[in-house]
Amino acid sequence: MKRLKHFVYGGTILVVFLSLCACKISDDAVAASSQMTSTATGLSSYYSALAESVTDTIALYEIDSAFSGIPFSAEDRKLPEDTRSEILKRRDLANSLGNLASSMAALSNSKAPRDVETAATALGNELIHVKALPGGSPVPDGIGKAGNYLMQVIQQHKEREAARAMDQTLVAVGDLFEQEKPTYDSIARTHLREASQVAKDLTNANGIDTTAMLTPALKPFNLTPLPATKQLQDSLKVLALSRLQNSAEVAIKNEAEASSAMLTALREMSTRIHLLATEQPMPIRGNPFSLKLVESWAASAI
Amino acid sequence: MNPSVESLENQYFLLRESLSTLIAQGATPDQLNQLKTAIAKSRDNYWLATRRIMHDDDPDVKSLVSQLNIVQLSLDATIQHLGDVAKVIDAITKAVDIGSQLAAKAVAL
Repeated sequence: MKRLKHFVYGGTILVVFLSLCACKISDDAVAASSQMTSTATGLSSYYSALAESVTDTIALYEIDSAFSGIPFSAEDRKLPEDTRSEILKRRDLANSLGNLASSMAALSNSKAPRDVETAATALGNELIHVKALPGGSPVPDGIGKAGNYLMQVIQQHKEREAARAMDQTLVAVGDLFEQEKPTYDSIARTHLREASQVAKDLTNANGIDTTAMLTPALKPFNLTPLPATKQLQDSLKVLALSRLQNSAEVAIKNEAEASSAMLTALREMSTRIHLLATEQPMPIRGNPFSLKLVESWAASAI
Repeated sequence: MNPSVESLENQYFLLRESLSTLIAQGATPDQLNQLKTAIAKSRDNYWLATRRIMHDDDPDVKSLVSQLNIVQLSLDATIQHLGDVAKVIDAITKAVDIGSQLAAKAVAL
């Protein structure tokens, strides 16, 4: 949770840093805002897809309980639900980070310092309101402090301090993801392995219609298969089980690649912000390339 | 890496896959109930561990992960070369107990 505090704190500092650049706004700062917004959106999509996979896993446990008799009580259900809730907190924080980063463009276009201060104060208030999200954890206190810090920095015009903090904070965001990545991969893998296990049991129990697998042969001729004979069912069952195994392995690999790509995007973003914070030119203006892989996985997973 | 979460994930799927094997080997209803309870416990241990990301550098956690991996290797071999269902259930119960200790470390940290 300490890292989460850093994460939220990062959102605050990003806006502080970028909004304070408003008076000497550069193309690099505008580009950084756009890239940071895209990266935060990718992060949010990743967490949404991961949370969705936990929801599906819970549904699979229910099916498994009905089918195999493995107990799945309300108390048992609470455990994956708690994990899902933690993932959603991270998604909400990614959303806040994205909202705040995208606000930078509006701030940077403002010529009046008063407008900048008003907008930044509104963002500070938004952070303070995030307090209500994760009940009972140390996070709310951190968010409140971050909101107050925002106000102070605006009043004191501590640009350099904000820039350094921003630089460090983006490293912390990457560290948070890196530390938890093996668990994210495990959660996604568990979903796919559980689906595969239930599908395998249903296939072995002749609980699926294997004739659908004949579609590639019959569709071009507008033909419909008759219900499979036992012999045909047995033959297709072997093929179905083999496809199940292969598809699960590919899906597991795809998720692992997506989480690695997300981490790469976060690190790349951090490097670019470091250049900005140290007043060096930012040679690459486009979004981190690896984000496409994350978006593609999230779209297919949800 | 996070070997503690991964070990608990693997334990759950090893036990879950063993259900059909033990049914085929003629396990009694009581034995199957014990196995199903152990599978549910193993699943709970896994989710407890994910909820609190564990500190794998903790020496106790390291030791438990190591024990769990050794027991699971032996358990996997026992299930594959099944002789006595009661012995397998006993081994499964012991393996799940180690998993519970590991999950408890996660809660405590």
